[in-house]
Amino acid sequence: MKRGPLPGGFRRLLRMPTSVGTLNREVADEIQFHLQSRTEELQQQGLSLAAAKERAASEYGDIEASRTELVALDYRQFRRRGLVEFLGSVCQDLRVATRTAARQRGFVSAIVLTIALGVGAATSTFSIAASVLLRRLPYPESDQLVRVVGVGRTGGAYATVSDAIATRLTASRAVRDLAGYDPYGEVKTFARPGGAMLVRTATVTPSFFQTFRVPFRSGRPFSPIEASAPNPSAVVLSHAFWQAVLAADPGVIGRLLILDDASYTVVGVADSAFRFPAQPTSSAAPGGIEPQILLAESPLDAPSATAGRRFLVGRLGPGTSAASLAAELTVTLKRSAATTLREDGVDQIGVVTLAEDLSEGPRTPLVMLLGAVAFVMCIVCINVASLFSAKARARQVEFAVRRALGADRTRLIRQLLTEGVLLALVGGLLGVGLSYATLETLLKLLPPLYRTTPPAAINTAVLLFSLGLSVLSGLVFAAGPAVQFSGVELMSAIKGSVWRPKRWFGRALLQNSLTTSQVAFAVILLTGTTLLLKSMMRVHQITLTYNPAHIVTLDVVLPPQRYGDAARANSYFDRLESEAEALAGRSNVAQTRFKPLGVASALTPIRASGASDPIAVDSRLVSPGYFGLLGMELRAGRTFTAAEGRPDRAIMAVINESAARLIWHGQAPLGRAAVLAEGRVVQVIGVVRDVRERGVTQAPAPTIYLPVAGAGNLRPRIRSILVRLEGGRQGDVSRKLVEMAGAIDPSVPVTVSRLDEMQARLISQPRFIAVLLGTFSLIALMLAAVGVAGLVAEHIAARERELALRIALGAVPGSLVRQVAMEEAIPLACGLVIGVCASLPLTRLLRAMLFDVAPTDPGSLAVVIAALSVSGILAIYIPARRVVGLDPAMVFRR
Amino acid sequence: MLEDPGLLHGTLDVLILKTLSWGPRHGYGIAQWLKEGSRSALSIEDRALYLSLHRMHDRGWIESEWGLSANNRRAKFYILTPAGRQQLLAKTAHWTRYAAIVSVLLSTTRAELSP
Repeated sequence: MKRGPLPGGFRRLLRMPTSVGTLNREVADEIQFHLQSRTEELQQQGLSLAAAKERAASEYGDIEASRTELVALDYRQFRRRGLVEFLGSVCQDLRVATRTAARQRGFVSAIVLTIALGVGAATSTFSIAASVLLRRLPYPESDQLVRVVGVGRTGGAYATVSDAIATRLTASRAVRDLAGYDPYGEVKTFARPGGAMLVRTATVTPSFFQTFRVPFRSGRPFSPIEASAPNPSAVVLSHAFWQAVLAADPGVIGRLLILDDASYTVVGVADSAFRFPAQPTSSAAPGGIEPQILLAESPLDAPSATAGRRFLVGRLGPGTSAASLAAELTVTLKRSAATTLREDGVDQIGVVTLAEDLSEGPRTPLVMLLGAVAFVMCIVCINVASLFSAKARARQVEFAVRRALGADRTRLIRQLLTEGVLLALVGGLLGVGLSYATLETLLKLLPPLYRTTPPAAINTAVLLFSLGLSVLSGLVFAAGPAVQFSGVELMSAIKGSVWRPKRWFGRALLQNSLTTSQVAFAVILLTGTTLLLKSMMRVHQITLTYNPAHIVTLDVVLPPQRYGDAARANSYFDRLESEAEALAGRSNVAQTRFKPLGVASALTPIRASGASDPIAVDSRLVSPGYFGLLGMELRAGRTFTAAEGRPDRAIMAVINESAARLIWHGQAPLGRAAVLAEGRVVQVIGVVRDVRERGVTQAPAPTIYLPVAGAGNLRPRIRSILVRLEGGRQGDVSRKLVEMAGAIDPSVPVTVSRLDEMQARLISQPRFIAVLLGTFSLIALMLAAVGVAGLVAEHIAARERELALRIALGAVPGSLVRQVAMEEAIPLACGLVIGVCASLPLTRLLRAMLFDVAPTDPGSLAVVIAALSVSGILAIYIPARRVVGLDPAMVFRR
Repeated sequence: MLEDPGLLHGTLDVLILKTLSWGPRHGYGIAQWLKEGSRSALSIEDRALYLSLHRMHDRGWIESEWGLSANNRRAKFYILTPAGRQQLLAKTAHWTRYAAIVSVLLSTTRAELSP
């Protein structure tokens, strides 16, 4: 029994339980004490032990329930206080971190800057990659959407399939919601009260709206019946067009629009959320590629006579993959429509998810860039780890003292990790700022294929990535030093002899391998950059047979109602051509259906008459002046004359050298006949030299040239006039050309552009990659050099006594420097060798972007090795020179 | 001995605080004081006592420490904190006022309506 104050001499034990087990025990102990005390008291009053116990228990109440509720209460407190304590210690860590950072400003700035460079590069790269690769298509269940294409025997895919195949495919139950659409669209003239304007249109089958679950703001999609009409007149408008051009007319449904002199009825307006599924590759007018008006194409299962070829899109059934669908469709078609397949040059059906299809071009380069930036981050972490290590080493004594005073080793490790993460976060923040500042410039460099709407930006996902990357780097580079320096014993720390590099084992090995890795990564990045730069130089050195900067193009789309038949279209263009000749000279003007260096072209299957299997060649529709304008010399025969280009004449064809080789295998092609698609026969009258028309970097494709005014031209209304001018006159001549076209027919809009604009777009991809990769390589090289220099300086400082001793004993400082340098150079040399070996398989990823340069080009490798050797030698020698100035007397006095 | 009147909610708290105002005690000690102080009129379920103790500990009105009892046994001692002392004063004043009002009303002999 106890009353009053505690007796002197009671022991003060720990205040709070430190674990859940202790908590439980304490509650049990407390209750136990009470029961025992009461039992004793009752015994003193005369009860037996058993009776006393029983009475005490019943007086208490439900013991188990009491224990449970007391434990629950205490547990809540325990959790709360644990959290408060933890937060308190984290705050303490942060305070210590900021205090020491203020004291070690040099280290801190170096660490923060290095991380900023790495995280900045990573953030920019990731934001672009995320916008292209992680883009979710804005359609419901978009991972089911697929494109269905035909694959030829050589593996090349035809973007379209013939009508016959398309019809058979709709019957198959394996693919759902099959629809056809034309992603390239057509530009038409819209007759407005204020004046004609060009609008982008696209044709889609009625099932398209179902496939993409297109939301409608008003009205409805066109029905299969409307689409099957001979000249379907139902149209669906895009939201943007309705708002901007039709001023959001509330009565738009049922309104008549005149496009290309034909009248159409508006049946629906799509919602503003809908995005037409197309890649920004088409050379359509700048300002977006979204079609403004959707026209009807005849349904796949009831094609009209003029349908032609189709781009197909559909949905995968549940649980089906693209590959299995492709296999199934191929088998079905081979069984029922084998001849159709063959006639089309199709060997099997290919299925690819729409998301992949739309991001195909940029995918490999972007993944490669992400890999490159990962290398940069590795180099950054390695560098910062040694900086951080040096920073921690300077505080060894502090840590040892804290350990001696009883601090937990875990606590110290946590302290160092907190410091590391704090520095990394500050660096990361700076890096994100850098990335933000350079984003606009970067976006300007973006090739058209990488442009997305909305454009790449530093959004939440990217910020989360940067945050995660910073924290991860912080943990990575601080981990090693944290473990190393928290375990330091007090006496050895005070003596200062903790860390001595042993030659090749233990810590020295780790350090050497880190240096080797840094150098290897730098080598890989530099090799990639050098290859790209060399390739771009080669591109510059290409001499085209024509100068794109001197050629102006006049692009015209004639409305069909007034220029429906070929004769009228031809007469318009002939007139335009002759007026242009008056300005620029007779041999400087030509007509063509597809502009050179443009992305549009027509592939046509062709075979020598008598041969069985067709091959795909480029087909171009041109006027006679085209050959001279592009510098295509005649190798044999002649080109067609103006008279021969009439629609009523038999089709004459001119082919280029590679087509001749491909189709007739070396036999003289002159005078022979060839068979085009749909059995059209043409006669070869001339062979011209191969010329780069598709793109500066693309080798000349086998091409067949047909007269643009002849029967071979299925779309005589759309043409470009090419005008070659000497430098300087482009500006006013362009204006005059537009005036001339206006004089001939004011209701036909024309656009003028220069051929080299296309060219610039074509090298934009390798240039973009080269800029990024070049930046990464520079960062890598700089960091690696500085890192190596720092390490060498540190080693020499640690070996001061040994070296001073050797000098005192008579070693020549000069040769000592060389000896030290050679020792330090070994990890570098290893890194160089490993880097070169590793780059050999990796640069193959660049193959698609390299022009005329092999991925294993020895010249580039030599440049890289030389650059790294020079930097390495400098990085080693500059700190090593300190050895020369070593005065043994000074060293030993210390 | 009074039949267990059923302590009003919160009254046990103020009684415990009062007990501790004279110095640290362990749970059993508090129970004993309450019994003796009320001349055995008050019998409190020990379970309720400990629940109240732990609750007040959670609220920060009392602190606990393990120590040795008079018989050299390990026991958990409770100590009044400054916050607890304030609570004691406030609750005591409130209780006294409350008791006075109730007592006045209950001792009224007839229903009187003051004019």
